[in-house]
Amino acid sequence: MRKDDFLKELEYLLQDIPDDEKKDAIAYYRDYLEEAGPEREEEVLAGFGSPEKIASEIRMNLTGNVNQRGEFTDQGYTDRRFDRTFHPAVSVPQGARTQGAAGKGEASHSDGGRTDHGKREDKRFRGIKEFFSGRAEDVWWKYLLAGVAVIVIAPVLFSILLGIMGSLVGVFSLLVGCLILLAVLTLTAFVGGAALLANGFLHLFTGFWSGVMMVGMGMIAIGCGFLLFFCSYMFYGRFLPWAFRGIWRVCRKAVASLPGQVR
Amino acid sequence: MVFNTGSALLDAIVLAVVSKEAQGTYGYKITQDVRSAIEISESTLYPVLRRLQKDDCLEVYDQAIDGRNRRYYKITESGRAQLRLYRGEWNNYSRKISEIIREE
Repeated sequence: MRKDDFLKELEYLLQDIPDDEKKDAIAYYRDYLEEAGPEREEEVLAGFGSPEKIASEIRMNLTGNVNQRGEFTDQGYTDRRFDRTFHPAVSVPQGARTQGAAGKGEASHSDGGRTDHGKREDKRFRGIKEFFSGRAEDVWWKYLLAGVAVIVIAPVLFSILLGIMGSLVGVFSLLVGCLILLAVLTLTAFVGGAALLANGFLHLFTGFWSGVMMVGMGMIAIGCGFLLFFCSYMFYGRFLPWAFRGIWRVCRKAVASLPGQVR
Repeated sequence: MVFNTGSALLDAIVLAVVSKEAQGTYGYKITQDVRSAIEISESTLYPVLRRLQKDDCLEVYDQAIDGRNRRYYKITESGRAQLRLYRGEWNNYSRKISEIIREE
């Protein structure tokens, strides 16, 4: 990308920021490129990265709460809220900055709001907290906003909850139904088997082989009953409690990690 | 570079570089001077300079050079005060770190 293309692109990307800010930034980068000269132009433009990156850096600086959100370091703009490896060593000069800013505040009181950079760093979420506790100034529109949000979101949330509850009830009834079916089957197998066995013993005296067959079938039925009973025990007595415990653990872990993610 | 330069240290470096020129100095030169000490990209300093300017640590003026404007940055009195503070803090800090980290 050539110099003029770069500047044109940057100007386009910055069209929504205040005019003097835009002019200042464009002038700086034009100046910089002219100072670098044609022979370094390619190199400098490569060092700049994309116009989008430059524009976002300028925009970030403009929002005014740089000290609240992130800072410009030798790495460019870094936002420490998303930086897991926070180095406390940095906080020593940060403290110096606080004192310096406070000292400067006495000298020139033009912007009193800037005298507590360091303190603001700790109160990043003050705005959010105030929002929820209602201590922020002129909050009526925030309440209005919250009300509208509730009205919009509630039906969606409600139907989702209803769906989840419906599925839970469905699964639960299915499990209960299966349990009843299994119990009936097991009972039938036991009772039928016992009846066949008894009948078979009686038949041994009248027709020997048919009696033997009945005794055999009775034994098979009782065996089936034991098998069913064992299967039901394994499924309802062992597997389900284990599965529920697992689900519960996963849910608890997810809930426990939630505040961490927010921070 | 292995060690990060935090925003306060970067401010201190920029203020120190600008304060060395009594008549003020311009963006490109500041960047090259800072780059002689730490690795920064060519674009890093604009937001820093702009912020220091808004914080009344730096003032700017334009001067015509070769038929175009060159923007000069000059340190202000409160910029000097800030630099003095940074300097004291840095001397203290770097001395302690050097003592701890020094090879026996």
